Amino acid sequence: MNISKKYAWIMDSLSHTPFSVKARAMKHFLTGKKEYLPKKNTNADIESIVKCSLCPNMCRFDCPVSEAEKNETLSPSARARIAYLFEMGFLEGEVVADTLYSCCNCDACRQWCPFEFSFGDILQGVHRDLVEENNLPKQVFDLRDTIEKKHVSDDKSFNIVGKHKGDLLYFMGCTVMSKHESIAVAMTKIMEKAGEKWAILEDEWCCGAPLYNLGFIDDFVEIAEINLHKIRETGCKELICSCPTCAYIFKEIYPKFKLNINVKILHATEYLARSEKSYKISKEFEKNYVYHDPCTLVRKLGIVEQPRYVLNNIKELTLKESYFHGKDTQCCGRGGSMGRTHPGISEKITKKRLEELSKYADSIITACPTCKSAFSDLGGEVYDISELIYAGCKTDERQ
Amino acid sequence: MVSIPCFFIDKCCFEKTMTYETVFNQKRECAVPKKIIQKLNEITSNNVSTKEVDRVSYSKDYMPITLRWILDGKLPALPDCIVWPENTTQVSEILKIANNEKIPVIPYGDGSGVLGGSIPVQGGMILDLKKMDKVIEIDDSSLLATVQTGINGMNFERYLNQHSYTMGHIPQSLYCSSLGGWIACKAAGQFSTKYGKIEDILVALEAVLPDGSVIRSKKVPRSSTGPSVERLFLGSEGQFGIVTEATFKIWPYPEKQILESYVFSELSDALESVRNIMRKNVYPAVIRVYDKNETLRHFYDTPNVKDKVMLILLMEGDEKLVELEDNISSYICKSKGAKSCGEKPVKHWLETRFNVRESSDFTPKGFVFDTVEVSVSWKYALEFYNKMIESMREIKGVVVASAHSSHFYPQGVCFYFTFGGVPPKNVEPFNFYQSVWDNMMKTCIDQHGSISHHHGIGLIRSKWLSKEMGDRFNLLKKIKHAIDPNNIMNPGKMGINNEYQ
Repeated sequence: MNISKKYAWIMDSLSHTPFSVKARAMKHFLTGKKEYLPKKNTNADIESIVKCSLCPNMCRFDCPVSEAEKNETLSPSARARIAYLFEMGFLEGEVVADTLYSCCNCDACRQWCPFEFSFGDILQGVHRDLVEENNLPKQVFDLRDTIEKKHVSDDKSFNIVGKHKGDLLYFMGCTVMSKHESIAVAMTKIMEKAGEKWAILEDEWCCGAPLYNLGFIDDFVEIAEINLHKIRETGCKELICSCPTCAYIFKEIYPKFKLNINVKILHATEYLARSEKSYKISKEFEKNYVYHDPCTLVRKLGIVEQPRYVLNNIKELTLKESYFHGKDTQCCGRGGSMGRTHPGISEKITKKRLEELSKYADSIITACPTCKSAFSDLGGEVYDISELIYAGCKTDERQ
Repeated sequence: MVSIPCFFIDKCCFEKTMTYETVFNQKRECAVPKKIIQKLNEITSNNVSTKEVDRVSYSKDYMPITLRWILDGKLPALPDCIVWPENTTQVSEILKIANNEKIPVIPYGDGSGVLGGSIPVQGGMILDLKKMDKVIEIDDSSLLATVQTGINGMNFERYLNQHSYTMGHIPQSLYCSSLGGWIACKAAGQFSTKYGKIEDILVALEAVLPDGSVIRSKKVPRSSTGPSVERLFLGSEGQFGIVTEATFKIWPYPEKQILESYVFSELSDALESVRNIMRKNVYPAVIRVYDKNETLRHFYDTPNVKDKVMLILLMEGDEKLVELEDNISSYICKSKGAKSCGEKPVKHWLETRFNVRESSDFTPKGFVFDTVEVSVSWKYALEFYNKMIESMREIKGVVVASAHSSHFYPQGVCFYFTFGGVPPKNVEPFNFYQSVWDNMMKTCIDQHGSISHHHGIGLIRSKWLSKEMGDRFNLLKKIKHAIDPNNIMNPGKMGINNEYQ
């Protein structure tokens, strides 16, 4: 963009201005913002926080937390203002911590923001500062402690038998390991059917996403280094994740800490779209289905078309689209570990999205184990895309 | 009766803003007694907060100078508590208590007002209506929608769009304002030339008066049954009570849009063209005229716009009708020497019209700015524009002084002025800000204008309202006193009581 053209109106304005005012304006323009920075060193991105806090809240209508709670404090700009007051030392960590951990990290805000900020990203540095103050909500400590002790965010409930070396490493993720054996079975069977040399980690650990988001950076780096070692030992060329957040963390966040996995990272839907010819589905699906786009998958990984390609290739399946689909999707309520840190808010968000989806079909298809958990815990009939395909393939096998 | 020693009960705090240190070092407690808080909790099923973090969040709306105060470590005010009712009955019960106990009540929607209308200058209770966000009825045959007024504008418009309707009320604050706020401030949207302003779109309402009584008007297209008393709530800024439900006109989603733009050599030619379009009874949904500075600011990517005036038009509705509107407006503009710039500038406007970033970009650099929307009849329009620009530039420190027009009538026009600058040495930012406002308001009144077209009065304009209204102001005060004798509703605003002078 031609910068001189963009600011021509300011030059035009200055041309009507006396020299003394012009000089003062230029001085402000060059040095103004330094006056508003905190004196102490912080991890927070203060410049972005200030910009966000000065906005009239143009993303508030699409923020799931703000909409669920209806409290001005939980609107994005007000939270940014509170973060700023905390960073400047006007408000204490104890007073603000609960508010500043209330974020689904869904990036709905980003698409309405003139600066393309993700509020979750903005909060990340603030969380680090809150961790350094050691003044956090109990639920946040509890989640960190669980991962520290068990190496996953929940209890592992099953084991998948498979090789530990191979070209394709399947990474289940904590939610699959604790709640959705059927997703792991479906994915591994589909890979097997496709003749892949697939592998699974002998002892899979959490990818570290909750630790990163909550601000426990030392713990995150520790677990990430171990994961890196484990993944490299498998000799894999590609890493396939059922959980969009795992894929995002491996792809985008590990490299920020110079932890490059150096293999291709795919989400399950990308793999399923690529290997579509290796499975044949003959089962007729009697119900109508609506596809729910997981926030991280569409907004952080940009995967919109692949799941639709896979599902639209199933001739026997009637697929509906919700009004809020693709990048306009709405959060399931469990993003940003909200299901653990703020279960009350999380459930309200889930309920709202479930009601919306239920207008379109009896059953929901999604591509994120956490979304599946959120909806099924409130009574929704939900399938991961891999489960649906495997169900169709199984019929084929019987024939 | 309990006397409530609220934070700023004795006088408006506005001219002596508190620093965060002052407020929090005092550890100021909620001044509403615990037994009242308990009663409010009983009414609302525990939807009451006295938390410090919430009180700070509700200490301001979007009045631009308060953005500067955030960075300077100042608080505009501090409410004592926040209450979230969920239905009209709860609002009624809350107001009865507030009236008995003489607790200030400040209605709050999405807090996007730019005149300080929601700042709790005398402390008291913020009555946040966000939980009252239900769509009650869509009447397709009558093209009416009835909703609770706490609903966010964009969420309501998206609801309508899902069902193939639009309300046609699209203010720039659509994403961050509530329907109740639109009524309270007498709002106007970007598509107002076709769909009308909020007073044209509002058909009926339900409101709770300060004594807790509830009034409702009929959902009829018109009636000749005495003065429409409920319409007192349009532009009332919370002075008379709380509007809890409203019925609005809606429209089938338009089948066709035509986008067109023109550049003129002079502002007078562009305004004259629009005046003639209006005289033909042609109503494009969007008409926007930008002066030379704003043309450069918004359309820098369009070739040859330097020293030109841009007019953009958006016509929508029935296909044949919009084509006719396009033909007539094209003929009129070209006869005034305009050159067509096609769809691109309009598309650019459509893409960027909610792109509000200047506050975030310029406030941290120490710039003080605001927008001032006023109206004037055609007879005085051009002279009015020139004098208003001059009135901004007269104040030392002003760098930017520009305008566009975005609402038109066969009788006149709304000018939307923008000023921005840096306070001179040893001049407090607020004093600089106030000086520009004062000069503009005085000029506006002297030059036959009205001091607000669609943002309202709030705090900043409150001392000018009596001059604007003349003899009518006493009548307004009498009506206020009759409806709200204890002055609990949004006190300290509009210059009605506790005048900010």
